[in-house]
Amino acid sequence: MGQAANVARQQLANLVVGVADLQVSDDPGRVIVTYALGSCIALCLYDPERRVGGMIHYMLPMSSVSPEKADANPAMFADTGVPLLFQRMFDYGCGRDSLVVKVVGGGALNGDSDMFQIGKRNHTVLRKLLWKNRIMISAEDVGGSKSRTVRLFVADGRVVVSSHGQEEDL
Amino acid sequence: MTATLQLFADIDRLPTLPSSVARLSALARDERSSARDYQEVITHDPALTTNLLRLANSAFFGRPRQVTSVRQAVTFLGTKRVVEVALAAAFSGVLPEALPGYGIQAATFWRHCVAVAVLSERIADDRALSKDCDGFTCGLLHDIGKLVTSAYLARQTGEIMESIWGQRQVFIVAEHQILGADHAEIGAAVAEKWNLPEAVCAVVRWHHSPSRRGERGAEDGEADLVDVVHVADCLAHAFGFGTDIGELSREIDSGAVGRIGAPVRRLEHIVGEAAAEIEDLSAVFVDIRGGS
Repeated sequence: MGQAANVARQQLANLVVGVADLQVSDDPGRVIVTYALGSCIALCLYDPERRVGGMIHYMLPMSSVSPEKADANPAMFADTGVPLLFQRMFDYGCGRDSLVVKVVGGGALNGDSDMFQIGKRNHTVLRKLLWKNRIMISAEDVGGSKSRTVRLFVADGRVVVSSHGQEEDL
Repeated sequence: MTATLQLFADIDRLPTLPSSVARLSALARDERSSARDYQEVITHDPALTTNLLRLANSAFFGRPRQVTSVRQAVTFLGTKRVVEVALAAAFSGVLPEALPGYGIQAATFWRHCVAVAVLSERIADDRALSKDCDGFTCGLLHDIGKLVTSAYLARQTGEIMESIWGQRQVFIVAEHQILGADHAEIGAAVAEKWNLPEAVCAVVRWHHSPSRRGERGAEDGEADLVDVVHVADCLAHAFGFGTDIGELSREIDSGAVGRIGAPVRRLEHIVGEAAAEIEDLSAVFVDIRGGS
């Protein structure tokens, strides 16, 4: 990355998405970021025409395991949080068909081939949800025993994934 | 002296927990002790009093109104809870600024410790383990060995990274190969030095390999706190509560999962219920330590 780009990047302000949280922004000076995704998933939405970005960091696939928690915090679950993130994007005037959809996370502990599989189910439920609504995923970085940090640049929609001390554009 | 022997020798250089904590633990074992005895021990330790009140007022302990005195804390929380909170307050006070060998600041380490504490307590309750079991304390202290191993690992970060990402070793195996001992073994020696209860020592020693203790090995038999803390630790790492450089490079012990016998949806329910409490207790540390 060139020096000018580095300087520009340092001036950007982080908008942090906590665990079981979602954020949407149309401020080009913002980077929407979430840290340490293990089996959780970050769904990143971006409207390149309106330059609006949104991200959810959900923990669990289905709200049926804790309906009261889902009432209090729908962003904890894929089935309640993902529709809410889309709704927030629509509130900014984004059209469904103009959204770029990227998916990150859904990892698993090394030995978790047949035990918890929470990351895998988090991913499966999301894919089904998107497929049912005929929404295409344009890129994803999921699975493995990685912990990932994700940044979504509101100015241009770039998504950067960091893991093992390295970062890559998605 | 070999590096491994040096590691064990370094245990003596760790700060110890304040004597008030040992006195509280002694009171907890003494049937004749009264609430007033607990109050006296705590009020004689001003740092402990301050941090105990901060923790006691966090949402985790769910008080309907502000706890402003040690007396209220003992009355509202009960003596068992007060001992747990006092230990947590004392533990937060002895943490170094950072654990460079694990690539984390103290606040991240604390976040992991409280996540395992809260999850262990909830799993133990859910599985109806004996009321005498202190899942919270066992979970909170499970990684104390890292306070010693961190400095040694920090000199060999490159080898650790190559071992876990290049050769796909799980983190604790890599740690053992590189240091000649791992944080569970070293932690057990720390637990003994701090005079922690036997149950805590066992959890610290075996939390990565619960089925390797003594006669364990089969999936049958009753779950105990070692199994509970192992599963809580795996869940905390899977959900990113206090992630360190080992990331998800850890193994789940199928024996422990089998003995606990909770379906994954039940564990998901427990994690969902615990998430806000974990955030809350994580934030208390930032209050206590000023954001370190």
